[in-house]
Amino acid sequence: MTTPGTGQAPDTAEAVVSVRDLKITFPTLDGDVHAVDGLSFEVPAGGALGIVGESGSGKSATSLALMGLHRGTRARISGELLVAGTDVVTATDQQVRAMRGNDIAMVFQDPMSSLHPQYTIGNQIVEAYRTHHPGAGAAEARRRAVDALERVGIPEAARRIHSYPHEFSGGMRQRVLIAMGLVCEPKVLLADEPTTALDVTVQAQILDLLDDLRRDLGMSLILVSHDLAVVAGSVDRVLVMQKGRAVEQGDVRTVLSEPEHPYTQALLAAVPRVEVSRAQRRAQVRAERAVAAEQERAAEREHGAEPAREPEAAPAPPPAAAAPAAEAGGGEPLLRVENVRQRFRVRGGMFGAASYFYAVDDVSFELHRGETLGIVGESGSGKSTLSRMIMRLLQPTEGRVVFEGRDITRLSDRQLRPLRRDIQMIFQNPYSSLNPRLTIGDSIGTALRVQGERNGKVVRQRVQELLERVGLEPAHYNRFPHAFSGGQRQRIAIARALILRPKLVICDEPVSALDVSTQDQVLRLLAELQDDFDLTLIFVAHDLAVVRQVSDRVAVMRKGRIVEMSDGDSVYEQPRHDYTRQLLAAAPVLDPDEARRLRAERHRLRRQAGDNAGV
Amino acid sequence: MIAYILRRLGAGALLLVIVTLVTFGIFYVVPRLAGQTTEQLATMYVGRAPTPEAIQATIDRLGLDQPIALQFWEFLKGIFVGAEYQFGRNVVECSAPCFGYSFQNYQEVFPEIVRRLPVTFSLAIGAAVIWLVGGVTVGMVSAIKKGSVFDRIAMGIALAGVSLPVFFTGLLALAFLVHAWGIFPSPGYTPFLNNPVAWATGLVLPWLTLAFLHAAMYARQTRAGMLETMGEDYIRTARAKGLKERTVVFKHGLRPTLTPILTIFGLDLGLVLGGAVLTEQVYSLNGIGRYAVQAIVQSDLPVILGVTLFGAFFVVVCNLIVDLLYAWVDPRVRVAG
Repeated sequence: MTTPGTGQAPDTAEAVVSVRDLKITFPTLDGDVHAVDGLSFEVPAGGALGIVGESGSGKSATSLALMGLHRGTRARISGELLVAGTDVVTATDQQVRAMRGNDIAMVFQDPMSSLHPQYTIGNQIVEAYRTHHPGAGAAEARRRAVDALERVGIPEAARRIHSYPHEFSGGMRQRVLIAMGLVCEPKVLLADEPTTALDVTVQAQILDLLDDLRRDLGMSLILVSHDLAVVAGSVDRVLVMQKGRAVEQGDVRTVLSEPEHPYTQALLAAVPRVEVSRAQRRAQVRAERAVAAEQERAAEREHGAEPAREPEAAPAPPPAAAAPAAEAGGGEPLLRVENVRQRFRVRGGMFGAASYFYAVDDVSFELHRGETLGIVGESGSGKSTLSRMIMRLLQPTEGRVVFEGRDITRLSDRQLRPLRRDIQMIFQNPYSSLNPRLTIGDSIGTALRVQGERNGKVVRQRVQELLERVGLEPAHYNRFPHAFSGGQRQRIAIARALILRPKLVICDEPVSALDVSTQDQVLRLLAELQDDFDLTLIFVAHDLAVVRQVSDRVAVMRKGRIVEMSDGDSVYEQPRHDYTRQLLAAAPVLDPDEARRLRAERHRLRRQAGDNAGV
Repeated sequence: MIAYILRRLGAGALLLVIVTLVTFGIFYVVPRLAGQTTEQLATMYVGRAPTPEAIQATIDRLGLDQPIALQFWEFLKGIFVGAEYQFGRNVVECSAPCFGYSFQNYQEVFPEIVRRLPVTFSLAIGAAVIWLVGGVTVGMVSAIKKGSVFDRIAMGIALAGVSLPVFFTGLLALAFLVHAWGIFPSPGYTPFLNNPVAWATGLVLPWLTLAFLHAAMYARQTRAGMLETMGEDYIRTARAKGLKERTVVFKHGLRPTLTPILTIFGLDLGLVLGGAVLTEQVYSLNGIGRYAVQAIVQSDLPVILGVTLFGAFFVVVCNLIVDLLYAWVDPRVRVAG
């Protein structure tokens, strides 16, 4: 099978990438892990394939193998991996190097860390060109680099070529990486989660760019993502991976509209949809919960002496809290934010002269008990700064924050301490927000101890109750964070926030670091807990669909200001502000035709913006 | 960029003033806080015959009974414009920069330091080149061939190098390599201009001894840094471009690895330039470090103080150079400054 052109000659003639029975195995101390197990697919010249799966499904191992990047690692690889006629499994290192960048170029997930920080982007692109065109002069390579940068929409490319990566935003860096891939005009562009680290509007721009490039240059595209909605509008065929195998493969319309495999169905169901309103979603979750509870009770009745699981004992909502929840809307709001501003000092210019900018600029809102306020915005919109001010991790430069009728804007740290019990926060990155040297029991229990609980047994018992409530085992008490997956860690973070029975919980991008299906589970959990614990939530996120599903009201933030705020459905159904419309047009959707329509709409909006700027 | 350089220069100057203040404090203020009287303090500066008259003369001469601030001012003034000391009818001049006057040997400290400077410089710079090149090379090869026999042996030797002090390795080298087996010539200093070959052969062993200690640390640092860098995303990007592994390692891997090493190199070089005390002592090289040791043995405070200040000066200057180089090596520093 090392001789291309014998058996499969007719196929390989038109397929640029052809994978047959690919197996990738990582030897570990606990035996071999089969990251990819018998995968086969093909990408025709000019075609586009989406590879979708959760983390651990083997999709990234596959894309690294396509580039031959598993070489020099412990991975064992077998099968046939033909990329533009080179069998990556058997080729020599030199052949693989000649293929990389020239026949197949890769765009990576994290544009922040994928460019060398110490070389100019021009240097890095020129280098890619000259590696494969040793005869090319410096001037020609430079011209090519400028062309490629212009092609991906970097303004003033000839000047920017001398800039370093840190002088670009995330989206621009991803464009630079794409330009680097394009400079040798490869036959295939392989994009592994190219937009996961980016904002919604930037994500849409990058996906549009990839789509344009594919059309204009006749390249094939392989788009790898955990999110079906990301690939929906950009590919012809889609391949769904689970545990190293392809569970479903076919035309994108067919797979998305009539998924056959249960895993694909589950994955589709988990994608948060911008068109589903909160009421629909809640009704659905409640119904499913009722069914589950009923089944559990039935099961318990059957096995009379089923172990002592007490689903009702753990939540135990504080009895007094139920009443005010009922009269939400009337009475004193739980939280009142009045014209807050947060000023930051920026150093720069000659002799370090300081200038100022407002990260949050004149924001006001009220929040009633039991309510969920969603705050949507892109990075730099000030949404995290706002939540930090409400937590009083930052002191507002101007304005007031009133919690339960009490002005907390200027309280000292000491005075704030009792208040910390009432306002808690769940952070974005569950990997770095848990101390790796503390057991999760300690992590969660510390808050109780800090607030004065001395009895170790009580702490342990309450932590274990809560662990069970968030869907973990009480026996996990003594484990360390590294033993848990991203979703489980976020559950731990939730438990840590809830252990003090807070009144207000601020969730800062709680699911943006998680896979789609894990996202769904965590969101469901949050919804359940909100009911059980009578929580008031502020839900900060850049994902419009996620925010819609959890929020009663939605505030859209941009450049430190709230540009639009009203009840969730009307923001989505009758957006008043242009920016909201842009955001909505950028949100990925599952229907490929709808995705194409939105793409056209984005082109129109962008042209309009360009015309306006020109005037 | 200019703003960055000016800021760094300003910070360096300020640091030197603070260092001077602290050093002065250690020698003139701390003893008083510990309960020493002015007379006792003066005894330390009096020279060989501490008669009451001599002590009183010393107090007057040095102004030890003056307020501390005034004394510090006189001390600073000495560095910039020089000082004069009264010995009966004789006036001894300590010309600028006056880092002190040894009352035991009736010598100005600064010319003595300058006289020994070529020895210390020859030793320090030669050794620095060896340890930098040697350490980084070994570290890189170890990182690339991680887990190989070379890696294990090199890291084993490096561990020994880090843990063995110079007076141990140096004396062993002297006993075996020079005296028993005669592989190396007897160490000693010949001025470079007189005879470059003798200069080099005389210093080979001291260079190697001093470099061994540092090279070991650099090898370990380089190895760790290189391993970390080679796991970075941008290394994967470089490989994905189809670059040769050599280019990936030397262009993309080495530069980020060397950046932090530059920092410790600045510190180390500064320290050694201020006197490689142990190496100079072991090999009887008459450099600044040995001068300091002699002064300590004789409790010759002005010399100790002068050498300390001088050493601090080198550390500050080397750090300043490193800071400026940093901006050139790592573009992100230019903005963050």
